[in-house]
Amino acid sequence: MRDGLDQAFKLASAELGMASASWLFAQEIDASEGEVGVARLRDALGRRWPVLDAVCAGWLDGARLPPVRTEGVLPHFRGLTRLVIVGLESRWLDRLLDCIGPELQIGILRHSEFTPDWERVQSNLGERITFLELSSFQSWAGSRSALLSFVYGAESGKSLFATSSWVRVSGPDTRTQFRDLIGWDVLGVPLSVYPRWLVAVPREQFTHLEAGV
Amino acid sequence: MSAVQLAFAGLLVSVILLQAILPAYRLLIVLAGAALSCGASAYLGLSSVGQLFREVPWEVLVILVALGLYAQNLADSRLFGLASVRITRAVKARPTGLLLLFALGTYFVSGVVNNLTALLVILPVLLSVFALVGVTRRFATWTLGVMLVACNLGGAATPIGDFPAVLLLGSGVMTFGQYVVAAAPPTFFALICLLLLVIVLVRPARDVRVTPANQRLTLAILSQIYRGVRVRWTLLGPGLLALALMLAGWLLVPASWGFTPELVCWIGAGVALLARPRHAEQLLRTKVDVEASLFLLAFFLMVGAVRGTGFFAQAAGAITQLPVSPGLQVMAFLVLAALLTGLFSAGPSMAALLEVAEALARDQPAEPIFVGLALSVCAGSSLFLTAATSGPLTQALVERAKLDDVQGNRIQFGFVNFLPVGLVSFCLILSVNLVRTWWVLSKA
Repeated sequence: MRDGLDQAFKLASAELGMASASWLFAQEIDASEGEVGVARLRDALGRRWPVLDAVCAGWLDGARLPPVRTEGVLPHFRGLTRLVIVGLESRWLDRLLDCIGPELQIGILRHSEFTPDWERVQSNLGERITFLELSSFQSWAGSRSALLSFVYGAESGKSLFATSSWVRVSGPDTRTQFRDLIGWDVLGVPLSVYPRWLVAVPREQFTHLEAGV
Repeated sequence: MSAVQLAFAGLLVSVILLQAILPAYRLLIVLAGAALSCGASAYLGLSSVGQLFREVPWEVLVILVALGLYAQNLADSRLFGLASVRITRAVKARPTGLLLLFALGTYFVSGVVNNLTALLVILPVLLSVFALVGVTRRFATWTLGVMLVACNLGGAATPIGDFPAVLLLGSGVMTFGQYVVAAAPPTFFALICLLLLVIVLVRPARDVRVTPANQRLTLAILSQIYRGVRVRWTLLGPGLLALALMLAGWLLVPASWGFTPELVCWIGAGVALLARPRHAEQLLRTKVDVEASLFLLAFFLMVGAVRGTGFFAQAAGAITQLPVSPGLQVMAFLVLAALLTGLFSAGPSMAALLEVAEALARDQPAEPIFVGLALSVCAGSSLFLTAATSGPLTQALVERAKLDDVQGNRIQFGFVNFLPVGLVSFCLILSVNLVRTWWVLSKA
């Protein structure tokens, strides 16, 4: 495995999301180097990037890029006028945007531990997306508004993990300001190493927890 | 020289030096210097303040503002960013291919838009590719350095690419067509020589390990992070139409019609902007380069005050009295211009040196002197990272990207890193310039 791959993964996960980037890496490395390459990728980057570790482990167990499932979350959007999304996961966001009509306004929290090129992210997602800042996202709150966060590890039945951005928006004050707080699990395979970059959150924090794969 | 002449010239040089030493206060320094020059000139009865303002080449400022807005509008169309992605795909992320095509791409883009805009649209893609491919510090430094020089060369290739050439166009000493015919071939030749020298002798890509898996992964990620980015034809279409109109205006419209270069530029930028009025209004309110305009206005006022003392005429006279042939006098002027630009940066140097060039051109063929001056300023701009505004911008973009090399060390692009590229480029561009000028002068 070449040096500098860590930086490539960081860039990819900053703009695509950790799960989307992990599946892409596993798929491309497998295509050029086979499962041996995927195992080496896991050895090289797995400890630092737990979602990649989980995806590589799943890949070596026979899992392949799963289709995105939206049927769980879509019913919760009925009656909503505003949806605030926390986190970036390009595969799931793209699919969601295809399924949601123009009557639902979509805001994305512009906050990340990494440094994505937000202008490029905006160009990819289209003009219907509004970026919201941590200081002002509550202006979107209301009885017809919901928060949606990508979550990881719901599969394991134990801990549930979300990004640090979610921890910053899901305080006790915020929880009462939105009609629903939806967790959308995008990993579908269990996490097995310490979930660096992610934060354990209680399942009951979400009003709905749905599978994305 | 009289004491008054030396005092005004000394003030100009001090301001140029001080703004170079304290770039964080450069606008404050040059505006204060301009006020001091105007005040002293009026007090001593050399020129009134009104007279100094009347002598400011406003048409140059009109061109700069209009072209700046036009370039921003074109950049917002996303054309250049997507073209950079295409380049990466075309060379399959191979390092030497990246160096070659990004340098050529930068040259052509900066011939149409100003250098800062060219770098702002191209560099983010290249830095992302560096992060994905995994490059060495040496490769990154040489590639970024060559791109900066390509940017300067592209800017000098056309009269709309960079300030020195805009000044020539705006001041009316050369037409658009004359300048392109004279300046584009030597700048392109210098770029090809530089690329050959770097690729064949320096070989910065020799330590970058690229495997088919690397290439595949890089291209796959790049495709994903640009998956939904599309050209905004509502901006690009009118932008290209406006460019065609401007080129036609500069090249084909007879001077007797009164459509001066700045008017053509003003109308052209207007055509490009009017297609999207809301976007245009936003650009006009937020993207007019007030800093550059005030900076140059202040220098024009200071240069006007120095001119009022007769200093430039005497400086030109001193050059023409050198005990060498007229051709060698021009050569000496061009070398001096390149060195002064390296030290003081392009804008101030060109504003001051054009006065001397105009005086020299009274007795000798004008074209080789003016084009030679533009190329000397280009060489000087390429000497140090601080000699052109695009240098600090590149440095800032690289720092912001927090790019690591393959060993995990942070990649820096500062004054010292750029110096080898700068020295090589300076010598090369200046040599091409001197040979070309000598050849043209000997034919005349």
